[in-house]
Amino acid sequence: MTKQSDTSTMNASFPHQEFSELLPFYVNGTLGDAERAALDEHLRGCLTCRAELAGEQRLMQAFRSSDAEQQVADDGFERVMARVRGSAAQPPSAWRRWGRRSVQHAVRRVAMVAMLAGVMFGIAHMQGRVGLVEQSFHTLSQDRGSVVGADVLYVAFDAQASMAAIKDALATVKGDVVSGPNRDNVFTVRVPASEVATAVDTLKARSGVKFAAPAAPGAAP
Amino acid sequence: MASSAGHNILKFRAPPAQPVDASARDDDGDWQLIERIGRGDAPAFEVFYKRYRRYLERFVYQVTRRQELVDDVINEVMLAVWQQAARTERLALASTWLLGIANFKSLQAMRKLGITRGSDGSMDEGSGDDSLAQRELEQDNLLNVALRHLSPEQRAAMELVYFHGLHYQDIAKVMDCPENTVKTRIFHARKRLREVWPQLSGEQAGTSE
Repeated sequence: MTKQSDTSTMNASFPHQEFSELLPFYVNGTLGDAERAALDEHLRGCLTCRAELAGEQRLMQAFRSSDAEQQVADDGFERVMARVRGSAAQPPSAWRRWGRRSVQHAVRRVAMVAMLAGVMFGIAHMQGRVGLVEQSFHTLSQDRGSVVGADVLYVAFDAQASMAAIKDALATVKGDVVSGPNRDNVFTVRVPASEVATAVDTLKARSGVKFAAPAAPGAAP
Repeated sequence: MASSAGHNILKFRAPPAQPVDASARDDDGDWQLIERIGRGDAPAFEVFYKRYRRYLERFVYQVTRRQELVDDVINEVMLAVWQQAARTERLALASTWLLGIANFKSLQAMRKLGITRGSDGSMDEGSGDDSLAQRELEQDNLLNVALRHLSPEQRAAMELVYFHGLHYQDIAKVMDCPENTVKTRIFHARKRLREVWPQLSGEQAGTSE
């Protein structure tokens, strides 16, 4: 018979399994006062849990008596120090932590710049000021001036996009990489001249593509 | 009344190993060492290494049950200590922080062996080495035999609760999972252990509701 007590609101709401789940912590002595009192109350009326408790005590005794057999090499510390002395294992000093943060910030900045560039390009294109955007891209692509034509696109991928994913995306539009990626992960890509608009739409629809747009002012779409 | 077989099957080794008493550890001293390690203090690192090597040996072995991994995993754990010491905040006992690293590195080593996660989030390593299990059975090391039937994550949780004596909140920190996951994981591990080691169920006392 299970007793209920107003000293234990837990007993009224806890199903049996939840008390059972507390038994290991009862025997290792880490339960808080409220949980222990509630479990004591439950144990008085639950033969199953009392039997489990006896098993728990045997189990803890087994763990604490068990000598897990292992032999670790005596030169363990020397082997760790050999790795520590390697250039890649220096403890992070203040400037190295700053450097790590800088890299993380740089990656975020690259992603943001690529996204903003796409947005700016779209806005400028709608406003008929593609030339302004083109000028901003000029600083990002070394040989841009020699390749821009009606069949050339700028395509930016997520910083996390794999090379295989990029190749796959470009293959779907029969695109050939003319140059890139630049520091903002923008590729200059040539596609069949008659398929520029389709290529842009196709690339925009793919996950991992931040933006895709014709490189030349006035080019379709 | 318990059967004689039921009593005989529970033979424990002597002398007993020393269970971990976290409160007896010099946590302030540990964190002072960690702070010095963060500044690149190799002698402090050696003190820390020697203080915790045996502690880690048992834990790593209990999780992996693979002797050949223990050296390498401890090496990885201590390298991580060296690398992380400068940016580690004192949010828990040093031993809890270290167990968290050891748990992660042990499971990582198991994954590298191709041991995959099961549908319950734990990992299944198959039946293991039957000949070793047989030797352990002959040596009456029944706990070790029984533990082979658990996943590495279940073994880690069991070791943390029964040997290290941690509260479920601390185990959740070590294993980087919710508290309810800890309780459920241990519940299912106990159930599995009772299946392979019925004497743990307490049934010899003839108790049933």
